[in-house]
Amino acid sequence: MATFTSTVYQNEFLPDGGTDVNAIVRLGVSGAGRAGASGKAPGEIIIVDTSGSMGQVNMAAAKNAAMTAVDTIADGTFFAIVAGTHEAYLAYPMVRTGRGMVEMNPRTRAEAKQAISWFNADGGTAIGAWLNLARALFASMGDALGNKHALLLTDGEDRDESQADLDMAIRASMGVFQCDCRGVGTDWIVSEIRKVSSALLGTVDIIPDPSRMAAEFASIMQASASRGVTDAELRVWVPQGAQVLFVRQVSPTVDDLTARGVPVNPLTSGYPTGSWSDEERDYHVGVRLPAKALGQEQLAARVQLVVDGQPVTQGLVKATWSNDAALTTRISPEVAHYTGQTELAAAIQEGLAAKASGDEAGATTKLGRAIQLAVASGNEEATSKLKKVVDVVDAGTGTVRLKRAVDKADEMALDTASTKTTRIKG
Amino acid sequence: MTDSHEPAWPQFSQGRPVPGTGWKQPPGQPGAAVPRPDDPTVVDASLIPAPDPTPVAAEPAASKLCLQCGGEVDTDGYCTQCGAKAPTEREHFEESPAAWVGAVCDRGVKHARNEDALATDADEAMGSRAVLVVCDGVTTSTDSDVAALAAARAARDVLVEGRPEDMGTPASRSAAVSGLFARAAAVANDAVAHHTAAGEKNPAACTFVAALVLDNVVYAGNVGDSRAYWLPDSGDGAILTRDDSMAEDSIASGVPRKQAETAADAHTITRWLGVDAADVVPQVASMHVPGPGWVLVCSDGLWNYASEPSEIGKVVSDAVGTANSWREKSRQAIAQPPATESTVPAPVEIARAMVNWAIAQGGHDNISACLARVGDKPVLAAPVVVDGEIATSKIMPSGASQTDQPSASANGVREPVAATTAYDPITHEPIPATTPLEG
Repeated sequence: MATFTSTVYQNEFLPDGGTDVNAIVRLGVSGAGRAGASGKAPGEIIIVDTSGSMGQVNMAAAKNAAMTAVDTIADGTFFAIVAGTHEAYLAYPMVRTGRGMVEMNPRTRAEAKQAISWFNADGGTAIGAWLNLARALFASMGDALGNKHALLLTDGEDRDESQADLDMAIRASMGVFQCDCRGVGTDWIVSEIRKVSSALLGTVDIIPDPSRMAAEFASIMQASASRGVTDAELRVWVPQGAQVLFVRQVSPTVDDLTARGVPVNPLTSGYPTGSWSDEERDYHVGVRLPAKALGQEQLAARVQLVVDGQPVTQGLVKATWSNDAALTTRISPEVAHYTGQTELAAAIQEGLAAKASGDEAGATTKLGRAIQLAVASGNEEATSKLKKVVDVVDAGTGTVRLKRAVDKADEMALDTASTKTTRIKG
Repeated sequence: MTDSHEPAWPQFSQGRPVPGTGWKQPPGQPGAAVPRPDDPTVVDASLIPAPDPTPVAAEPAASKLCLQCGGEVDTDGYCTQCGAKAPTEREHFEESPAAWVGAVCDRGVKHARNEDALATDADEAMGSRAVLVVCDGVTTSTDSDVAALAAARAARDVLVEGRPEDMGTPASRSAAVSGLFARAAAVANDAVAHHTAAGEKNPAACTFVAALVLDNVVYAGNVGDSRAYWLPDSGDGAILTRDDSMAEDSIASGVPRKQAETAADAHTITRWLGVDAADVVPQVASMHVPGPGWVLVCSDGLWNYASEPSEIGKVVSDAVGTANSWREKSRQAIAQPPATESTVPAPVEIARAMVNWAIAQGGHDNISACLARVGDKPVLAAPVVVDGEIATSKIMPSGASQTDQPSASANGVREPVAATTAYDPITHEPIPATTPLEG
């Protein structure tokens, strides 16, 4: 039986006339159990890029990795294998109509691996089409499935459809299934794939070395199987007359949820968070309230995790107006830390974008600010990845020089890691 | 996905796509149960989370209503609509022992605790019998909130014994009333002492004021600076009690009330209940109800914003309007037609509006307001004792007793209360508005 916890970090004291409340709400799950614990079988779809650009080496590694993933999927899980080019194909199961997914058992596992072994690199790339097929496959199972998860591997830019096509496919898939995305090589576009993984509540990373692909696939499948709490929703209530400024996941990664809010009732919005394993996630909530008289206390937000329509834990964000400057000028260390981590992610992404567009001055400024924030907050991963792209002159002041020769993979690794945050020190 | 709308899956054979079967943007097959994303008018309802029909965490178990907006208070203690923090039972409570009596006690804004307390009791018939008690705990002492509530309730429990049938003949009633008030204050004092730990450096302390309405006669007595007022619908009202405070001492020595009450030490009380109290015998005055009006018993958290009877009388009449507008609002909320005739809000609603008014003034102190509506329909009881026949109070100087006009008292000890000329409901003879009991 899963248990849920919530902790709120904030300074609830506002100065006279103050309106904006910031809080970090830490939500935790323990005892989540395995995927399928809710009673419904989990569903897994492995989407492998089989475009011509994959070439011999990547295609071989991808086949090997997909087979490893199939080995990792537990018996009883419903699954399908999609091969993606400028179109999408159902590689396994080999059915023409009806349910597009089958239950994993020794026979289907062997058949699936056989089907994967026949993959041949040929054709273009249309990631939206792949997502559309995956969504239709999940839909063909009716409501038989609990966790619905896909693993998407690509090596190239989404060339053979419009960005609008891709966006449409992403939007239609939101809330239907979750998708972890991996890019192999350096010809794929981080921002394009991050758009998919972020909206579909998954992760994005680069696999620079094809030999590491199998291990990566196995670990993604294991992580997916550990998510025993399905389709949890973050709900944020604010009082009448108040306004949600933003709702952001800030740990383990930065992800702005604000635009994904779906009205639950006039005062409450719901934000999908997908499935949970035993883990903690931190959310930064910003609310604007009408100012009240000094001494008044009120609730600024109820932040709940809702599973199966039931609130399972709730954090209360408060506001108290005070003329005691000792109280009102305090800044919550957690709010400050994650505000910095959010800025760090933006600085890295904007710095890399500036660099790519040839704006060296802009890139230097942004990446300098990034190293300053990364070092100050003890974000070692970001620090070490930044150091592969810039020479640090003085981390304290954020003074850097762009490296002359940078491995493209290092830049992409920095980009994909930009949203990963650290917890506050101490 | 129904059988008749099954998609035909794209074929893949031995690692090669089967030409013409591949999926791009939406599957081209007619009837495929996947929305056409290029057609903005087609929305797949299954992709849109259904709105939850029930408000979040609305547990109607104890449907407490928000004092700020009337919304439902959640089990987490905050309003589900405006987010206002619902006060605890001690921070805000209300009593309405009869349709003509209502009381509200509230923390206010600035104080962290509600150290005010009140206790009431009443019989059904208007003007027949009511007890209104307020005790205002002293902020600087320990556990005054607990002590004040215990004191108010203990005093109320003594004063409820003041039933006409038990109070002797009308002629001897005043002596009985004085004794009853003295006993009530003594018992309240014991209650405060009971809640004070031995050796406490800041022993609990509180004020005491009580009004007893008995057959359309109002008796009022106090220790400290909580007050009883007579506030008639027309004409001048009166303060029925005299504060035991530095301000009152100043007034007695000729300083104008406004000036005296805003002086730095104005709120220093010269008498109180508590283990360190020297004298806890209340001054008791009486008054025949001359006509329709309100008896108000309150703490300084209210009268600080409207000390003069004329000012606080206006607060009451404004509060009647506010309470009426609340009624109109809730009537609209349940789509009822507007009231055709003017209705009089319940005293507790008026008291609530008065407390809200004090909060709007800043709510610098705890606020207590007890109201009894009297004089609309005189209670026909035993002949009313008139002026002079009532006996005994050790407090009142003789010079202040026999006037029905406001004037400086002969010896300057008490400022006589203002009142209109009133008429005895039985004899129809003019009676003085207040009749201090004489010692």
